[in-house]
Amino acid sequence: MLNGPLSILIFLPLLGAVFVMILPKSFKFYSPWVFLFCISLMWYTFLEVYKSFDHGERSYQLVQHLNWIKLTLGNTAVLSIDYIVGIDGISYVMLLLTLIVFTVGGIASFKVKKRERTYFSLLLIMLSAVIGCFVSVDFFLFFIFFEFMLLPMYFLIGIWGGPNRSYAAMKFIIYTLVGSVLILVAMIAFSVSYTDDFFSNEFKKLVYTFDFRVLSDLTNIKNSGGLLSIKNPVFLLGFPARDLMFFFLLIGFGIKLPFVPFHTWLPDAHVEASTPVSVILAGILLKIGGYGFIRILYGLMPDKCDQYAVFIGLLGMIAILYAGFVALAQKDLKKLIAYSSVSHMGFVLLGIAAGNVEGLSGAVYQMFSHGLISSTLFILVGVLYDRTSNREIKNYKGLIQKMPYFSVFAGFGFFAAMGLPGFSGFIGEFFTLFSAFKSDLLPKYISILSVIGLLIAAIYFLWTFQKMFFGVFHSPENFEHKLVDLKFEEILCLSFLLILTIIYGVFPDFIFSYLDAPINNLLKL
Amino acid sequence: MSNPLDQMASSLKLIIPEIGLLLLMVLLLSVFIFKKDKESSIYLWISLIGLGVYFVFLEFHYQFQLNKKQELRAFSGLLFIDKLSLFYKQLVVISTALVLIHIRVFKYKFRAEVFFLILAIVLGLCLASMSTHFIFIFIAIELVSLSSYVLVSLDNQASAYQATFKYFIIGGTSAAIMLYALSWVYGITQTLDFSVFTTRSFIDQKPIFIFILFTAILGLFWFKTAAAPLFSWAPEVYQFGPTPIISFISFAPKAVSFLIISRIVNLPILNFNFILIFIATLSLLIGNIGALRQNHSKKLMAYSGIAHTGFIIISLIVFKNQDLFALNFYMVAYMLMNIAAFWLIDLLYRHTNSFDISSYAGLAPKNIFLGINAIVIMVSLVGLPPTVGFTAKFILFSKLLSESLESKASWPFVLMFFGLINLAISIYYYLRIPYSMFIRSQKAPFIKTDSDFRIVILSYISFCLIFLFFYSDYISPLILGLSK
Repeated sequence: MLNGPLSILIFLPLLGAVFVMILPKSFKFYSPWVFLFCISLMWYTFLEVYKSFDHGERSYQLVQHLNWIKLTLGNTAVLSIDYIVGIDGISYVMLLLTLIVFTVGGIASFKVKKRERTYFSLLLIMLSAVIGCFVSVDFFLFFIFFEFMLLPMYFLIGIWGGPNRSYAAMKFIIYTLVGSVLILVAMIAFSVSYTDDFFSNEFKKLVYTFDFRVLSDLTNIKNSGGLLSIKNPVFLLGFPARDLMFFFLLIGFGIKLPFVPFHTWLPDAHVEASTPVSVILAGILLKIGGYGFIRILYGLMPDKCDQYAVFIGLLGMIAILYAGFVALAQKDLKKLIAYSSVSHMGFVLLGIAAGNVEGLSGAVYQMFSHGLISSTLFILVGVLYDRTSNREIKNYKGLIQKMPYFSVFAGFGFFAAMGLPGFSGFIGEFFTLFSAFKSDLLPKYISILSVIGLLIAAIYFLWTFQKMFFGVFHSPENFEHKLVDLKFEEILCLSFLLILTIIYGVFPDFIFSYLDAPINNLLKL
Repeated sequence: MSNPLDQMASSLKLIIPEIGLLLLMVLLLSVFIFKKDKESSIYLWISLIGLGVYFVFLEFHYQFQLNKKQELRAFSGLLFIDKLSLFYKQLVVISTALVLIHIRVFKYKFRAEVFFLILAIVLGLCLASMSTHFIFIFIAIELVSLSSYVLVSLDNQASAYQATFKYFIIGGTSAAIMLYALSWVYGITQTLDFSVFTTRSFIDQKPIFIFILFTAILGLFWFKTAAAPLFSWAPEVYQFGPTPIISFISFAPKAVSFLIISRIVNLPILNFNFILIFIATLSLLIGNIGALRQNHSKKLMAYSGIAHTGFIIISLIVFKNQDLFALNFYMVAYMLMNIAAFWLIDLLYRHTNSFDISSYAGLAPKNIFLGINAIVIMVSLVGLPPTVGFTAKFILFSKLLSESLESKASWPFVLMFFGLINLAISIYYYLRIPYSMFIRSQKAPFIKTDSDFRIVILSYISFCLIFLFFYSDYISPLILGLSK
């Protein structure tokens, strides 16, 4: 029944999670290996997806449609919730990123020596939920996977985090839950205002559906009394319902992305989370916000996205500049990287606001590249923190003499994050900025000011690099003996990520070739 | 049928199951008189088997007749039975049986009168659920109330008496006010059978007067459901009463009260939506704010119950036609969640000898299944997927929004938004139990208990909570034909 490659990708990690959980106590040291085995099986399945993927297909492929819940609402309507999974270019890219980041996260997790079985089963549940989010073609299914990510992340931060972890975990879950409640409101509003003609005739009742393919077609809006109707808008609290729902979705996904002013959970969560959890948080979870923006906000409400393009663009610009300036002032290396994440995700918003092919592909590309680069940076911080339990920038000086390999990797990582040509970060930022300049929807000052963001990023990264790595080795807190150079698994993770960053930076077409058809479909070109 | 005696005989025939329940209580008492061991488990078995027989009897006796006729009436309109009342009776019996199993599995030493009182409550609820006559409902509910006052004060502690006294005062006052309002209603309409009220029954009265009258009448039921203005008994009673008893009185009387409220608010005399919205928002607010700082797990459940009452009241809001699908679904889900939650709390008590949430610290690594159960149950109480608690809330809000679409008003939307924001707040306090179990490190040693069987049953209920999310089609046919 659930035998398509996409379903296997969703349910294999769940099986793995159960298996890890029931491992006998004496075998608990094998739980990371179970995780890696699971991941390698998933890579193998992904290969199947890769082989059968059709670049020219504009809509979803490998679609699997199973009837699931038919809830009768009153006597006139049926809520039809189906298990529909499918993949298009955008979700393909995200799927690839998920597997890369989780592989790295899994290897970085070998250090975890506290309740390994719980840890790896939570990680596998996360993996399943993330993949479910990226491949579901049903809003309800998407929402379930979206919510399903909350608790594993809560416990991953809460159990294996730093000293202030419970505060950070609670902040994370409450922020995200408020966001998902807003999404839930919008989802219900969507479901009751669109109807599926085909099934309505079959059931002899009004069938409300969550299928993205139905929802993205504006002609399916219920003719009379549709809440989200464009022609005769319904007013809620004085606002047109469609606009209100647009803002609900915007804030809902914006908390996850995150954009200023809803970003405050992110630095806390990052500072308290352990290295692999930070990697997954920055590498994947933020991307679900961006994916939601593209798939749901842009996919289902293209009219409103165009209407509020300036607003989204401003949000992106503020995120880029504000987070950049805040990053300049950070003393904690991990907080600096967290704020640089917020700044980089601002480019995603900018690309979405531009609303043209370059902008949306640039946004997806920027998400992909940021996934690789932020993972690298967080692993780099983790290396230092593992050795000294300290992340203050001022406590390190002249590291290049003590840890040469580490310094080389750190240099590459920082340059990639700055957006130097040759690394993938450059392509993403270039395309989003280019599209913002080109777009008719955005005023020019947004794009011009956003370019300053690149400059700020260069300042804080170079400054930090200079302060920490150059000069004569000096350690005010006596870290000399603790600072040993990279271990094998760290070199493995870092070089894997950096090589990918360079490959995708030099050959961006490896990603863009997947994005053409679905984005043209999204823009109705 | 014209002969009053014939009518009496046929009416008596109709309530044979309830007469059987009464005989069961008499049997319990007679065993109590002759048996030396007053705490023997035989009383429990008698009640449990008796309830089982009653359940089967209900199914055969009423279902058979209801299949032929939509509704049955007896005692010249005093009793009114339809599929809905049958469903709520079955709900009461199932939840009681689960509570009796709770008592058995946790080896509570209750004396026979406890089971007698529990059966009395069941009888009262079953009678109340099959009437549309105010006085009959009043008497039945008073049977429930009086028995509950005695039940919750079983612990022979001063604090329990204090809580009971509060319970008693609030209950007595609301009952008295209801009776006073009923006397007005009788004076105006010459009848207390509300099923015969029409739009013309109160035609001469000012709307504000009818509004006050019905607010007073509904007061007793708001008290029973622990809704907002009349909730203040709940936290203390929950704190000091024996856990299985609280598990019992926190669901069954609530369910039947909601059935009666739903019948009253569907009357064509007044638009009750204003009262419902007011009580719902107030309950949500007080329940959630009250629960935020609770450290006592049973008190937490009390406030959680108040908040859930708020959600359930939202499902009672009537637009064009009353549709109780959402209410019934929520009730089934809430029954499972509530019983599971109290089961969990009792189980945690056996491990730590405390109801303090902070004392659960570090329990999950020692007993991972208990931890997983705690997560599932609490997530279900919050209403997140993949649990049936989410489905219940989802249906509730979808129905609210889809039915309000034609009215073009914004308040259903605001109400839904308010409810969902409350849901987001509630995760803070519900997660405190799993948080304490998983994240905090152990402080005091735990008591070793042979709790395997208890965990198996709890896991089964938790599994049902998840299973019914994926297969909610198992519930819907049960409740689909109920509402007209």
